[in-house]
Amino acid sequence: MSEPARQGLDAQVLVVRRALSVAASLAVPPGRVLGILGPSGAGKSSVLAALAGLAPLAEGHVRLDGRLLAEARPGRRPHGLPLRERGIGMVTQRLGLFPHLTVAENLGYGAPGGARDPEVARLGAALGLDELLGARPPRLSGGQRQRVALGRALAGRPRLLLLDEPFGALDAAWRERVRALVASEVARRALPTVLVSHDLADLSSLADTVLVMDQGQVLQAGPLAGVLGAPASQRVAELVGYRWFLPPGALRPHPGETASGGPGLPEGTSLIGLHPALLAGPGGPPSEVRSAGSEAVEADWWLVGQVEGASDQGFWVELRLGVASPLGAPRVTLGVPLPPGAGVPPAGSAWAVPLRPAPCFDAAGALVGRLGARSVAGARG
Amino acid sequence: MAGLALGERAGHRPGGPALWRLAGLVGLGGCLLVWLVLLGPLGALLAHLRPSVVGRALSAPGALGPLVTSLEASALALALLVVLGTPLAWAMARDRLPAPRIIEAGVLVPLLMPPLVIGLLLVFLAGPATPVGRALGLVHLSASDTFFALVLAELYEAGPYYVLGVAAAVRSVDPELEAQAALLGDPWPRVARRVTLPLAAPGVASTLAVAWARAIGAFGAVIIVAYHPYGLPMQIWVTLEEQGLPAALPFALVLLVVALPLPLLGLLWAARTQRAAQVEPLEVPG
Repeated sequence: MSEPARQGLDAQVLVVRRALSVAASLAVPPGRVLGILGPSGAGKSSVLAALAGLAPLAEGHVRLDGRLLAEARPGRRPHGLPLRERGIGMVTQRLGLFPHLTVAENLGYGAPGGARDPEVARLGAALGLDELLGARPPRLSGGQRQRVALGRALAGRPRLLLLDEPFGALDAAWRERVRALVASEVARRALPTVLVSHDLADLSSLADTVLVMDQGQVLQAGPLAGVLGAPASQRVAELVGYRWFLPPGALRPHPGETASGGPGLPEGTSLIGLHPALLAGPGGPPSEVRSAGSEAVEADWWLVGQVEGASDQGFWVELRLGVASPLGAPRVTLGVPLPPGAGVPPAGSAWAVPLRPAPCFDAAGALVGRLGARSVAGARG
Repeated sequence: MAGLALGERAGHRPGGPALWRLAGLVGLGGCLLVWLVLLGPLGALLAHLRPSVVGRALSAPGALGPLVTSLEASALALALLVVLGTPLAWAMARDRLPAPRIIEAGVLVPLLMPPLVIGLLLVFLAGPATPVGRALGLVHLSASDTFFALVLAELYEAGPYYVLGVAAAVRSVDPELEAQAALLGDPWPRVARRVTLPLAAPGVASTLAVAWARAIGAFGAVIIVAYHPYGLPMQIWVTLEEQGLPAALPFALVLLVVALPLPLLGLLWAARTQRAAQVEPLEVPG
């Protein structure tokens, strides 16, 4: 039997689980990783279950390398290949390790050579399990079990890899190593991969594109950088880590000015989303950052607030800045990282923070654009 | 509040440590008493047996015939239960049957009925004059005073224990493990052999042990449909009726010896294996 041409995953799934209807379209070329992120209960795991055949499709299809794995059409008998014929390696949140088998037997369960398959030794070593090959899962730590589950999925020579929070129990060092291993295996085997993760760092290091899901629906799809830079809605922004939403009146085109708005503000802006990464620098007292020649004055928009306090975060000091929003909007407290050794300004003093272009949302929460450059010459300084 | 909670955990309970220690001792004493009461009949049996009487009773001509009959009938009943009851238990455990609650209630019925009543109803169901009895006659079987009738009565008495026990044992195996095995390429018979059965084995073993004890000790239904050929319980009953209590005791000992070791071994093994296979759940955000 000749190998089918690698075309990757093409799926449209509608699945009903725990009274939640979940719909998603996915296209993952060989060797690429599609990330899915969203809050708990968004339907991420249900999408994986539908792709794997663990949850029946209410409607849609799952096609892998051109081969139909499952299909459900209204008025027609649903079609589904048995699980064993799908060629899927899957790591679920509960891992599903076989407690009565050793680590080597678990790793080799789906491998052609069983526990003695060369992939078992290779992956066991790469995942730091070579000393544990004779142990059984109940004796392992959470992180070790997660590595066994990943190794087992890869050793089974899958044609599609489905990973549901596969790094959640790993410590920081192993997380880095295992992410790198997954990236190299996916590339080497030209494996289409779907990765569900709460962690943006997992997704940014592995995923080529992401789906942002909430309440069973895909809110936005695209490259992670695009989603982070221009979240389609306020909800998406919240889900990808935007922590503060301010009315336009809270921003200043210049640290010393009191007027807000202006040519750089997209029309219809009701709220501006701020992500910690959009703070362009630590800023300073408005009178100081105003002085010409300072790096910070290059910013087009500023946030001016009052120092509420500071807390030592180890490598930096987080300055809590209260921004009194005009128009009766609630006061917002931002955390601004100060470089180590920087003096903490007294509470109550004014502080201005430069901003990178931030997304702007209308009253309904839809993206209307990003803060643009001020075109008014000489507005600074 | 937190300090109080810590203090409570550390043993500073109202009433002082002495009172709690006393309550603990009383509780322990109560548990031991219940255990001793449960073992009381065994103690009484051993206390009233004399080796010479046992030797004489068991060496009488034909004395061990009922034991052989009981062993054969119980082994056959258990084999039939394994062959016929396991698929039913499996399907019940994995919700593969229509109207699962009705099916489960049906399995429970023989368990809830007094064994004597089962015997009476078996006469009406499969007695020689019934359609079932006539159908059995066509294949030269009779459900009245035959070895077949003994096996049938034991099947009814042990069957529900076996089916419900195996269903619980299979249910205790996480279906996700079976799904993983299938995704890794195993067809379902291999999934059953490599994953489900090994993990359900402790529960299946203790179920087999209980079903064995129920089958070999079956009496209520047996006395109605299979007075002959004598099995061990019938031998005890007849000896008691004809020769009195002391004469029946040696055969009671024989029944205990053949009925008890398997359940005890099965239960001990099940407890050990289950402890070894306990996996702590991972804490991953949901």
